[in-house]
Amino acid sequence: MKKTLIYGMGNPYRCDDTIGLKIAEILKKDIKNKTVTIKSGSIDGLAMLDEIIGFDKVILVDSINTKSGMPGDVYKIELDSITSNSSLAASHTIDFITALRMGKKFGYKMPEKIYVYAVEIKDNDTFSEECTEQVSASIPEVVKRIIDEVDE
Amino acid sequence: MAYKKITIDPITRLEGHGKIEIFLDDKGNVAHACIQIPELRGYERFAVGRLAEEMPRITETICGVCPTAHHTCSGKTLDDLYGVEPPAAARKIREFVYNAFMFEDHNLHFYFLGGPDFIVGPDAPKAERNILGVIGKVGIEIGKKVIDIRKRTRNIIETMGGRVIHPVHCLPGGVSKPMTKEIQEEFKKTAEDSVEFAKFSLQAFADIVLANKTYVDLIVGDIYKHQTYYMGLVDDNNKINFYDGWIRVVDPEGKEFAKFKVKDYLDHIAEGVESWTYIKFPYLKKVGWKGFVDGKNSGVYRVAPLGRLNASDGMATPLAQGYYEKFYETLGGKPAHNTLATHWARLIEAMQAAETMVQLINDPEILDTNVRNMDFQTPKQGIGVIEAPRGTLFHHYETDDKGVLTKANLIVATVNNSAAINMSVEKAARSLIKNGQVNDGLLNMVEMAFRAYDPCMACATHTINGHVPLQIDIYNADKEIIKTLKTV
Repeated sequence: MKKTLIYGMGNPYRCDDTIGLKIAEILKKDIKNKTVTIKSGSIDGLAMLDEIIGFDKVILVDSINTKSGMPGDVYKIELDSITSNSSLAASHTIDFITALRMGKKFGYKMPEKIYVYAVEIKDNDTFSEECTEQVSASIPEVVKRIIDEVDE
Repeated sequence: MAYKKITIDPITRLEGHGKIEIFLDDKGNVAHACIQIPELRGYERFAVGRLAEEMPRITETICGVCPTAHHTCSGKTLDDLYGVEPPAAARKIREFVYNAFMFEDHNLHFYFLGGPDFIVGPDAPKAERNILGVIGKVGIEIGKKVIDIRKRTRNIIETMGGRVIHPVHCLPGGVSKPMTKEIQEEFKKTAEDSVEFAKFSLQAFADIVLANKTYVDLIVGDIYKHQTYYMGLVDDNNKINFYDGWIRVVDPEGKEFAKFKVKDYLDHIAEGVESWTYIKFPYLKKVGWKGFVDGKNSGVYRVAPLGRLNASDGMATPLAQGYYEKFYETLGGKPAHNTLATHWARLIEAMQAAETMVQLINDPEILDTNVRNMDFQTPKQGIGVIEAPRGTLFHHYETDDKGVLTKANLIVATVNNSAAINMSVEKAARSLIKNGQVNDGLLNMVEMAFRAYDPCMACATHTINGHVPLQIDIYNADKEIIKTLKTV
């Protein structure tokens, strides 16, 4: 049986940065499939390497800032399209892409598929446990897409 | 005078986002340099109106790198706020978990952040100055060893703290659960292996860095040197203690300048502000703020591994003490003002952390099931301190009688070093950039000046920004970009 990890990322007190955590919490209630593990937190690239080893598929849920996107836009990003410069994790340690390269170099059992559901955000500076309205509005769509994917 | 402006923004391999600006005069020499560090960004204000008992869980989200330091310091602050002393077993569990964290974090810095500068080389191609370059140099098996010990020490935090990134074990008056015999046996092995790993790292430092004359010259040279005051927590014998004790300050000649308990910290530390940044610059109140200068008349002090070693009379454990003696013998006595020696001091501290883990986990009292003292007093004010990997960390809360916060003040480790970091960056820039010669290698050597401090800039968000992490913009006198360098 193939195993899937869904990991919601973010800071619980930084407004729209909480989006990944909120989606993960909903998925924990909605997904009963025992082959799916759902976690959330604020985690660096190296720690994420520890998390993903042994899974066949990994779905990360995170916030994103792009130049032209509108708050609430949802992107499904194949990992290859994210450069190793992107701060998918705290830059104090190493980014996730570098961690993946390291994992492959060490011969660890790495997932066959890794991708990110990313929600375009408006505000990750304000201290709040709630997302802005436009970003919150995207939650049902992301939840549905991930559930559909897990059911495939 | 015409000048050029070089901007490094954000800085690679640092938590959060910062910006270095280097201003060149019309001859291409450095007129001035500074680092701008976004810090905290409102946590103190956000805390007001919340229950104090939430603080260990809130403040640890300031940073994804040193949450255990904030969490434990906050727990200690709540002890003070509620007037409770944790039972012996609770204190030992906290200290054991904390030393595991210090060990893990110090190794992370050596192998992943500061290490590339030395193991791969300060002038190595930028694409190789990272962990993959380190692995290329030391070999895959050693790389796996680094990952393995890191994972096992983090397992200590996760097992006792509930979560590895943002643990939840520290409660006012103790910890959330006792340690079991079964867990103790597993952790004994991890602690013993940590000591062996610390030996390995110190030997690697000796082989790779100390055996290389160029590197040693760099460490002891004037480029990376500042004569400042130093601060760190010590026990009753003036030996380093990461968890608790006296805050000791020594002057630039190594003489004890102050020794006080954290409740008196405001008598000794003041925080200055500058118009060009919103980070504060702490300084010694009884010396005064004289600007970004070193020497006995300047209140600038330094914390973190070098600061702790200088502020103490030695290490608290035997093996670490041996390395401590070698450290000062090599650097020509105490105090050592060599910023880059911080990397070495960090490894010596990792040894103390590992030895302390062994001591604590073998103490039968750590298994006592009494891990909570709930004889709470009416709260009013709580002050706590801990030695974070990056230096002395202060938490200070004031509440109403229901424990709702009315005021919070945090002096985080990197902030203590903020004035010194600016001075180090400027001095390195002045020494290395001459007559307009600015290249990637030189700029990396400027970055090395602050990377030694292991500064944490606490962005505490994880948004994928798609930005290039290091960009150097060179401006002419009209503030027009005339050249852009991108690293990585």
